[in-house]
Amino acid sequence: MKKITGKMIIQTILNYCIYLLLLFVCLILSVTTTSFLSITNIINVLLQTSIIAVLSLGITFVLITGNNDLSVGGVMAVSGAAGIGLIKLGGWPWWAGMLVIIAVAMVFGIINGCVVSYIKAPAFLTTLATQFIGRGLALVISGGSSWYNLPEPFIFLSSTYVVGIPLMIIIVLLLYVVFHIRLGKTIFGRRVYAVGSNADSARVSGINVSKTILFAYMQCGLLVGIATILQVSRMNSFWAAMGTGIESQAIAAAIIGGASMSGGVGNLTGTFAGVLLMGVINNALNLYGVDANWQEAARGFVIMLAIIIDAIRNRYNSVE
Amino acid sequence: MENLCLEMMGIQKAYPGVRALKGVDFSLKYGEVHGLLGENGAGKSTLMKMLGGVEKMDQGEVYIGGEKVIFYTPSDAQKKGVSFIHQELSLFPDLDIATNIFIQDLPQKSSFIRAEKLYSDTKEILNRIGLAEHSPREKIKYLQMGERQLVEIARCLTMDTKILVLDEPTSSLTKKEVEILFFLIRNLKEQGISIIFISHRLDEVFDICDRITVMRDGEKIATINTKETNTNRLVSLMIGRELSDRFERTGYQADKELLRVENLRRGEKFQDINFSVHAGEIVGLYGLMGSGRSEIVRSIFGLEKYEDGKIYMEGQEIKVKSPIDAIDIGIGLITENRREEGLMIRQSVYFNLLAANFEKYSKKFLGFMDKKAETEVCEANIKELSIKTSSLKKKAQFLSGGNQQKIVIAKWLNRSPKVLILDEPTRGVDVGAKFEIYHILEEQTKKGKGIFVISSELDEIMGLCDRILVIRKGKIVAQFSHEEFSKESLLETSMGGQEK
Repeated sequence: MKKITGKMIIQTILNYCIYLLLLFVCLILSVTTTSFLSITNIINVLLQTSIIAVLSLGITFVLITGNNDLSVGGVMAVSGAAGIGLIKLGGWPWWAGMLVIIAVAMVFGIINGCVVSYIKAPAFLTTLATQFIGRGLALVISGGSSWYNLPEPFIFLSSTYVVGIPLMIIIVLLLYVVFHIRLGKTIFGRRVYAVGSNADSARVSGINVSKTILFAYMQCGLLVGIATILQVSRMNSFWAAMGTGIESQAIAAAIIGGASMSGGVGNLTGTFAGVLLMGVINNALNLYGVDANWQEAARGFVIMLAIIIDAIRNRYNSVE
Repeated sequence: MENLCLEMMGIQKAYPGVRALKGVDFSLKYGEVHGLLGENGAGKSTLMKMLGGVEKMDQGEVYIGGEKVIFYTPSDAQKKGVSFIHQELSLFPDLDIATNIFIQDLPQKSSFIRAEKLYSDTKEILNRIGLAEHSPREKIKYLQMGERQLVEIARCLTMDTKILVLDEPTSSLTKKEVEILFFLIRNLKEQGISIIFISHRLDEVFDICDRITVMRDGEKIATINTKETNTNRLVSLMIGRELSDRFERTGYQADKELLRVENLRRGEKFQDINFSVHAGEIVGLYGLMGSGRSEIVRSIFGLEKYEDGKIYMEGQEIKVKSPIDAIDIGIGLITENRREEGLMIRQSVYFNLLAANFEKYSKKFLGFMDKKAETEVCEANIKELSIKTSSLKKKAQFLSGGNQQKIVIAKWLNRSPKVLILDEPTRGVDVGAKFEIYHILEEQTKKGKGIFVISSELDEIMGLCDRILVIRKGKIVAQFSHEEFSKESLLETSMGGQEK
């Protein structure tokens, strides 16, 4: 039997900090407000966080490889502009529009991946550049205008309920299950962790580091495409400014959930909890009637708190 | 008693489990170049750490210019005129020469840098060290390695240096650069500066040093005038030790040829490399740091490029462009830096044991990992190689050096390569684990694998290998069979004697 020491307890608490924090906030909210625990409110929180949840999912993989993706917001805009534009102006069928959205988003993922992994440019700057490119092209394509009243299948996505649960939430949960398995149980997941833990060692061990990073970005692109479809469905419209600033929230959620900027660690249950925590805190601010301008600042505080906890956790975990 | 610039008396230092210095005396005359020789681990660097104030000695006294000094920090030592030049240079590549030289004391006036003084002072110093053709405004990154070393020496000059310690200054220099360095050393000597010169290259030691001190196992063996000695004498002073507790390989049955390398070449790093490794054989490559030994195996493994030459596996010519190719044809490489390239230290023992082998334990369908097979393999590894860890989930960083190295070896054995290449396999590994690793390797030869070992430890390479190649300055200069090799022959061929 191993002796349980104070340090072990602290380590355990730090490792499950995000879940404890989430539980704590939920507890406070359910005691202090009457509406938090209602089904409508919970579904509302889940719906509000669904887009960020999908983006964080893709970003978590990229973060674990030791890279980053700031482009997701811009890519959402450009892929949406291309897909919805073709439907609205070109008269393309709805499914072709959806495919274009996914394809454009994946092309951006591939560009990010190639530049970062094969040309070895810093991920931060590369994806910052593609963010601008995406955002700019979205404006070029749409001329800055918005498009409303999308075809029926888009509305179907956002208005269908399965046993009382919105289809969108089910899609997000399904994605999490599938990718959770992909990260934890498949060879691709192993390679992602290996590359992020120590790229040199991975290379010596015969892992194709560049290809793994490229795949992570490509997959992130795919998920950005899905997030874009969900977003335009939910709003029943496309607007060129969609997804502005969303990357910072998606990255923050993944980091809160235990992924590290330096790579090698992170998992999707953590990321999901991170997404929920941010959603619940937003919800709390709404329920308490806090001014919208304050909400932005509050989000900043939460992220800061999470990063401080992360730094402390790293220090604790680097001693036995 | 003659005038001594530096006198160290009865220096003792112990680290947990090892007495690094057992009462060492050392003296340095004014304007003398004093060579410090000894095998790895003889205590040279530890002694110099005491002199530089990097670490505190347990016992002993140090006098500089007859005055007793006690150093608590490196800057204490610097104030007394002791300057170090390390193997890894400490320059700022993006700053110019002038700023690098005066970085610790930039001429300033109310916190603005006095540029004209800075650059004119630098100009003067550059003349002194023979770099007059360079502008003080040139950035360090545009200088050759040897020139950088000179800049580093120039930095020491601005600090009113009395004693200059050069730790293997020539290991990364070309012949031409070594000449300039030696010219400068002689110059400094005339200016009355005393120099301690640590090197593994005997020819250089004979070339530049007035006196030589030989250390072995934390003790000073002798201090001799260079004129009164020769290579043989020095080599025998350096080894001296009994060969009692050495691993001795038994039985050796070389089978068919596995790996053959023909005329491998890469620029200045290595040329005309020819050797082969047979099944059931352990071949050693002995040479000093910087002799090109690691570069050769890294090229064979596809981590670095080679310009010319052929590599064969079982008679078949192969092209290696990346480690993936090398692994596919049955080569495994354990690099010399375990933490950087061997392990993923933040991952678990489990993860590391399988890191070279994800394909083998994943199912074809959707690439799911076969957790049961994985766990079985890991448990077998732990047992067979007696890796000491409380659980498979423990992070690799919390294991001892020996156990970490066993994990890296196991990782490769799981891949079952035909030829396993090990670069300094027991660096930072305690004695017990060392012998276990030797036995593991010997066991593998019985299974028909070929093993190629790079080592700078004589005992290790002689006890372990059936054949030894000696490399010096990028060329294989000698080859010895098990019956032929001796410490003297290995040391002499690898260092290059004084006659030349």
